[in-house]
Amino acid sequence: MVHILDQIIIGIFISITIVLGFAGYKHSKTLHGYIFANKSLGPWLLSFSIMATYYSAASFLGGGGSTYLYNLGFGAWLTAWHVIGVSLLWLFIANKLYEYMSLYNISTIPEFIEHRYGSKVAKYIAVVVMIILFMLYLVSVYKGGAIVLSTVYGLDYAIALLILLLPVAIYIVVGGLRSAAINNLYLGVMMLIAAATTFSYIMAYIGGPLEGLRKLVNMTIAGKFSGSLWLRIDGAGPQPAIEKGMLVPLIMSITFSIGVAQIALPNILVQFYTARNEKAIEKGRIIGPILVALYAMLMFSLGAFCHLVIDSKVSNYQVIQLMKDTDWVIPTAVNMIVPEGIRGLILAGPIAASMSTIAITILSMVTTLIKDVIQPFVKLDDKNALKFSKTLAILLSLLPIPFAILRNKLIVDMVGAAFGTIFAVFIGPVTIGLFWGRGCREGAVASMISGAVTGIIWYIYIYGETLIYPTIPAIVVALTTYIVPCLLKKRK
Amino acid sequence: MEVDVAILSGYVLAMVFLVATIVITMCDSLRKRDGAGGEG
Repeated sequence: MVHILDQIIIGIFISITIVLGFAGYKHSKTLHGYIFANKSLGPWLLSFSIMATYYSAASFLGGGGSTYLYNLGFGAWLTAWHVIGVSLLWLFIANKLYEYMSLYNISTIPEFIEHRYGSKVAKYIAVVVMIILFMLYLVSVYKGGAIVLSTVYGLDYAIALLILLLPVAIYIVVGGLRSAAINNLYLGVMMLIAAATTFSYIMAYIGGPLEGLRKLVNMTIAGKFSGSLWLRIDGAGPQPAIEKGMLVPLIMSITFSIGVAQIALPNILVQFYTARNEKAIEKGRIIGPILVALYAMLMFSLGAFCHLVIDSKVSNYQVIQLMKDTDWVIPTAVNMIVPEGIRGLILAGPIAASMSTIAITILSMVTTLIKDVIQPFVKLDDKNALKFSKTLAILLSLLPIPFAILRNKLIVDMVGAAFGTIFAVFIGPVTIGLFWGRGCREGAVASMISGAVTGIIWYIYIYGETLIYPTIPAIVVALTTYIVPCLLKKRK
Repeated sequence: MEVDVAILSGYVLAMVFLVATIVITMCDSLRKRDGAGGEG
């Protein structure tokens, strides 16, 4: 449990999200306004919303602490792949998708798939895969935010989950996408403040990055590892990967999967439809990549330097334990060197990251269910559709809770596989299909099914043996099954 | 103290992509503005 001052700061920070939620109320009186913010997002709201949706608590805790175990190559390539991903997203995909969706009045990714391939089957497969995988993905996002909240307030984990969800549920019900985007601007700023503050305190403590590297090289970590291993890409990392000679492939496959996934995630892509106009996207092409790059550069390499903060104050056993569960590295370091009051500001970062991801992901699921599943079959007037959407938003935000509380191994594994699998499922039919004219319905259907199955099966049964992150084989299989049938099909 | 080239190249690549994205976008905006001016 943290100091009362930090608790008050985090309490105020969370309360502000509810107040901001009412800012979107004016826009959310119709269904179109509620789920698309009346296509009113300017460059700042759009850029911050996309950045804050993509970065969840895992980016702060896992991303920040990862190089406590892995060498700095993990941080460097995690940064690189994020910047490459965000550059591709804004330079090539954003405008093309916006033009396509606006031209044909398409507002969801399954609807895009139906229109692009002329197949209702492909659309419904996209809906099913999207809802299941997003549900599983949300479980991990809920867990990240709730763990921080339960630590901050010394609360039961289940109660922390409800405290995390309550403000999100309120502001997405009151103000829909407009409120979520305004909150994402606020939450994104909080994430950047938390990242910059954490970076500054750690760097000030160790005497700057170069001095930190010099000290790290001369250190012996946990009584047995030379600090110089953290400066070699084949140096520090999980012992099984080192023993099998698989450390570099493991680092590259994990960092690629986490960093580049943004080019194919439906909850990211669909936000371009809500842009005010092409100019908003054009300006976002500068703002969006800078935000993602800034956060990545501030956070993703801090773990290695945390050895200089933490190790002298704890036993070798505790260092080994932290290397096994690197999510606690940043909170532990912050607790040691950051004064009370400022700690609250930093711990608000991962909570903000969780809330922003939850809000937009739930709204993108609501949009898909309303537009792609319910409206084609049930005639609802605008007022009832709006009521139904809000009820659905509450239900969908509650659904992942039991899975976030249960400790079933299969659920835990599937949750772990979800994020990368969504990437593999949609990279072919959506991202490549946007540019490749020969993309066909058979390929799209085969790609979504094979990508989902490979991603989950590989994660559960093969990942531990091969140490190749499941997204890579899932993408290889998904792209092969997407491209080959379409190449074999005769052109009309 | 020597940092592995494979590590440094990750950071360099990130910077290259970021700068390239900004430059391409700015050139694109200027080109569009010039085009609009020419048409006008």
